[in-house]
Amino acid sequence: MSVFKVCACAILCAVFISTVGKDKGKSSYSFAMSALAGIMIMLASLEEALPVISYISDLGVGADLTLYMGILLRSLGAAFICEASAGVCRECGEAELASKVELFCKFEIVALCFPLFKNVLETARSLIG
Amino acid sequence: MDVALLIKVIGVALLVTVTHGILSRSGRDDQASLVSVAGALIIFVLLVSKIGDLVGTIRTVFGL
Repeated sequence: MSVFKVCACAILCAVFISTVGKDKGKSSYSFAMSALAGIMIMLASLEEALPVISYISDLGVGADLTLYMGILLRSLGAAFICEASAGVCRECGEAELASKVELFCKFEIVALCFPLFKNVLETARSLIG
Repeated sequence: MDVALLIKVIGVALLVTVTHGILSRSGRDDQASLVSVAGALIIFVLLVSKIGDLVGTIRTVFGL
């Protein structure tokens, strides 16, 4: 039933925002309302994804790939939180700030994957001799 | 999925909107602006607590 709850919350929020409007003095409510609904839906989607994520990390433990699974999961988490923040910034009308957050997210993911690149290059170097 | 929180926020926002309308129409603009500021503060406090929840959950789930 959680899918119905999520859709009902999103529709309720959208109807409320369109009713209250984005007039002067009420715009803070519409931003806060949509940000709150968005954050709650993201929390609900994390709850749904939790069994899959724990299975993926268990797979890594079983196959001795904990480093790679850790990098994968951390990149996923960084992308998740940066997308949430960029969405909230865009909701406030700060599209430039949102694009800066997304740029930081890209660099963060590259930095998280850096040990992986090093491993691959060193493996290639050892193979070439 | 905390629907009660969402409905609480909707209730606060509707109440503040109605109070703001009534007060500004009866000429008490300063009280109307105080009410809307108070309502905005309440909603932002709830929002910040939920953002804290989200960040904590992401940290525990993804191991950041």
